[in-house]
Amino acid sequence: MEAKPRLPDDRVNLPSSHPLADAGQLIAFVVALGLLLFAAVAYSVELVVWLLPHDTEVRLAHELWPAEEPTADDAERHEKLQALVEALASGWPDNPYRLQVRIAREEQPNAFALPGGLVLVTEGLLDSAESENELAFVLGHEIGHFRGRDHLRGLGQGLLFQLVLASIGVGGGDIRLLGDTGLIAGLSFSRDQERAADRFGLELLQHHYGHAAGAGIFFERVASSDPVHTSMPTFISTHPDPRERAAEIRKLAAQRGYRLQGRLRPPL
Amino acid sequence: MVDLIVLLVLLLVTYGTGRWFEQRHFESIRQREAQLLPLLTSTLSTIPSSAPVERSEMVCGSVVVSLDYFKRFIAGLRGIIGGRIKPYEPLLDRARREAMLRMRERARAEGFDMVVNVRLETSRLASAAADGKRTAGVEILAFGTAVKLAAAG
Repeated sequence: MEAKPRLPDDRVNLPSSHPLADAGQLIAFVVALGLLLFAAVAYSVELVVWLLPHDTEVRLAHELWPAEEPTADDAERHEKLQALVEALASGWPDNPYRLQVRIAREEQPNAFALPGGLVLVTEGLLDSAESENELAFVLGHEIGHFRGRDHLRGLGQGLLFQLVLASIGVGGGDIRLLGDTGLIAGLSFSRDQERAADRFGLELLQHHYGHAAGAGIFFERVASSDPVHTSMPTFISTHPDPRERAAEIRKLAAQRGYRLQGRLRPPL
Repeated sequence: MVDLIVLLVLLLVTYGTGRWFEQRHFESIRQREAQLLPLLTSTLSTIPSSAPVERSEMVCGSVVVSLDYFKRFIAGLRGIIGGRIKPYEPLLDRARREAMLRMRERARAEGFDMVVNVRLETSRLASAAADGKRTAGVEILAFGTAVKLAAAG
């Protein structure tokens, strides 16, 4: 037997296409799939947001944010704030929520609408407000988020994305984590949702005080003190530009015949 | 945004280095395979000759390879949608051929005429990540029986 060795054809086990071209194709496909998933999640959340029974929402919220007693030193402030929110909410007859206020120990002035009717207000906001009316507008704006069900949208999308990511093995996937930090940080609504909430806040302000003085003052202050907001172009920021917002609010008030001058009450 | 840029730079850099090593290695493999052409290597368990055997010995060659970041990233995406993990194919091809070459080079250094009954084996190495989910690398082992025939006459 005679053996005639020869070199093997070494292309047989090697891909013929360029690796970068393959990588580009693959990445484009996965990105397209991701976008599709994003659209599907957004759409299904939009459906669920209006179908979710009220008591389910309250129960869910209770698990994410267990009830918490106000501490002794802010008990009085908390009581006043709670009374103010309830008074404002009386301008919304169909309100299904029992709105609860909670004060967060946080210097950054901000407020959040959380599922189950929880209004989270930072100490920074209470301290920086120069009148009750100014604060009331921000609270009215948050109540507007409840009416638009924006708070559920944020929660639902955050939750669903965590689930999707966890199921394909990306990200921690701890849903409880959302309740503490991730969700509140990720609560960004679209500009349209913000504008609708602004409109409703304005209506509540007018209903409660009989005039709309103080509306939008908070945004003007944010615009003049916050270097991030002033330097960032409008189209990048998720929130509408605070100056633009304040101007829109004034315009809207004028259209509806709300007075922007009136007696301001002292801050809480 | 910063994360994305870091990711992109990492991918491009590891693609470049991986590609460079791969091409250099393939050159070396092709050259050495040509040199070793006269050393008969077979998977048969018998000697393709009637001449008496002077001595025989087991020879082996082994290679351990791991992935670069680019290959692992592509494989991760493939893990979602399925399909051929093309960047792995030349990597494993190189490893198999290198293992064979090491085995045959050893046989030639010891003065053997041929290697018969050649087998290839692959084994996964211990996991690299703390969660035990990632593979540190694979070992390719080539082994066979090196044979020296008795001189004719």
